[in-house]
Amino acid sequence: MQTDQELSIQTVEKYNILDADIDKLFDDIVMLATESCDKPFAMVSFIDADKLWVSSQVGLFPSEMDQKNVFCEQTVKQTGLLEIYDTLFDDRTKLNEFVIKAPNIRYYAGIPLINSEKQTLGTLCLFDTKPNVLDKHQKSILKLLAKDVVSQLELRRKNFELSKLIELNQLITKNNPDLVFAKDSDYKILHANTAFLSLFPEKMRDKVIGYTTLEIYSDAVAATFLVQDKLAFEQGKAETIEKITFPNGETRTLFITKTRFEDNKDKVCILGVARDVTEREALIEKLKKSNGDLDEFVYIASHDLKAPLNAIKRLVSWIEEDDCEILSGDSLEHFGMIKNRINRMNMLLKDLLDYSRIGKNDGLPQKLNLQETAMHCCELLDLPEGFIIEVDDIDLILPVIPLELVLTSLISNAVKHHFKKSGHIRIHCKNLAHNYQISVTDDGPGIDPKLHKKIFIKFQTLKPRDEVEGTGLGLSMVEKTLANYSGNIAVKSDIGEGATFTVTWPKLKASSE
Amino acid sequence: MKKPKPNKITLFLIEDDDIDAMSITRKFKHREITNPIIRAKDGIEALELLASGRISRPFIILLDLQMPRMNGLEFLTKLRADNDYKNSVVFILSTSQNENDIFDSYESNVAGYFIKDEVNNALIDIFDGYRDIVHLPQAR
Repeated sequence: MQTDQELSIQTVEKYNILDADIDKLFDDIVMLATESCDKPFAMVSFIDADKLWVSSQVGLFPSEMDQKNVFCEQTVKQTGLLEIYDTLFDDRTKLNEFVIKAPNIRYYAGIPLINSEKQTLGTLCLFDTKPNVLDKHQKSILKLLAKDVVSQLELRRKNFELSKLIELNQLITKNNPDLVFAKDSDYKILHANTAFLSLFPEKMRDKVIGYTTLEIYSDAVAATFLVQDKLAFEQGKAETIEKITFPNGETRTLFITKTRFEDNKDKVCILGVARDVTEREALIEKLKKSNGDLDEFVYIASHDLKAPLNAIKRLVSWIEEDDCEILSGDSLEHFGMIKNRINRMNMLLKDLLDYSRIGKNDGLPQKLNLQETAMHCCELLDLPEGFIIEVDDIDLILPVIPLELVLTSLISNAVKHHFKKSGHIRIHCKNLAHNYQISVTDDGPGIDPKLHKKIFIKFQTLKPRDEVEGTGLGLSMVEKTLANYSGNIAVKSDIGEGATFTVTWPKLKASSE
Repeated sequence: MKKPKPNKITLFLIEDDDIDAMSITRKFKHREITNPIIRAKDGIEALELLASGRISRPFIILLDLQMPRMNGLEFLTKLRADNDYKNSVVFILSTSQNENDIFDSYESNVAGYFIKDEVNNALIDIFDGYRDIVHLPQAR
């Protein structure tokens, strides 16, 4: 019962019937009820909170009827007409104060006001001071009138909701920083929001709606508008980023979306929304340039560093060739070390160059076999004979170049850091709903968990480079490559327990088979 | 037509890097190739040497691309526009693996394009055999 009432209270608010003007709203209906049903008193009551209150009425009811209307309280509990022919002979009413004392009610007929959602809003009811009855015809009229009250309430609710929406819409129109406008098929502006209108000089603003306004733009700008408008009319949607010089002289970069729609008279129109992206586009431009500069710098640096390095290498080998017999054993060893360092530097430069190029020419995802791809990587790596590589025979759809980079790096690490001359590397792939999970497991010396973070840092190696050659860029390259595909890499390992590197690679849609 | 002796063909080396130049002269010495080598350090010096008449025919040009003042491709354009020397045989020896450089070089009718890191001793082998059998244009 409690919940029913709460429901009804909400309903009453929705209908906006607690307004002052509601008092007189149903006077005509109540009057008609008394006359057509031939009963002296009538009222419309509504449920408000846990009470009933009287809205329109004919005849004078004591004001306490608002609070203690035992008749209507009965009516709202049922779905049909409640008729009490003689209140003195009804257990529910015979002791009621309005029956015993003035106005001495002897007859009651009430019909609940029920909306389309089966919520009871109140009653329409008739009273008499003598016992009475409704004939069949009068019952029908009462039901019809009750229906009319409900329809009026429904209309009122719709109006109320609409006015709220209009208020909200006005607020949006006024405050939306995007330029919003609608055009008809003659390119005349039908609607424009405040932001759009404020682009025009004040004295021009009443010449915007109903006009094309194209004449105030340069021919070139006006032409692009028309091209986009036509495209939207033809294809339903047009999107563009354009630099536009506004009527007030300001030039901004706009992201403009135009969408075709039909107005309520089935006339085809377009809705335009233009977002100011000047700052964003400027930032993107700046970022592109600085990225380009950086790429160029890395390329030139590593390229130009290679030339003198190779010159040193050649000079050293010439000295060895020419004067090998007069050099001491120590000096020859030192020459060897120089050459070794030159090779290391070359590797660093190569890796640096590769690192800067990651993601540049990856190619599209394609169907490939993991086993074949991994074996191809192994061939290029020229692995020692004692190593067995076991790979799942599974087809994947991934870009081949970055996958090869990742596999090559992980396999080469597993072999390079192995403490024995032979070993077992297992490459396993789980085909999950949204990801491929490729793991490379070795039976090598394992990695101390304390160092797990460190191995992904650029130029970090866990052993001196004189013991294990490496640039410290391998895993950084793997990480950067995966980041390009929103993937990641994780390591699971402990000292003496081998290591498992697990790559999570989100699936991409193959663009062409 | 009389064919000159193979070792009379001059190698006109246009190369800014001393060590790259040395590398060629060393290899010639090792292989006991006695052909004269004349070196210019950039395109401008090369044009001056040609104009001075110090590069006597027959000769072939081994040209680097990246050079200060006037680079290899600029030099090639000037050379092909020069009525006296437009028929010169030019080989490119550059570090550049750039597709455009290779394309532009052949557009200027080079006889071959070699990349420094890749040639090692093969270029000397080629020259050794080439000088024996090649017929080069004479001055008219």
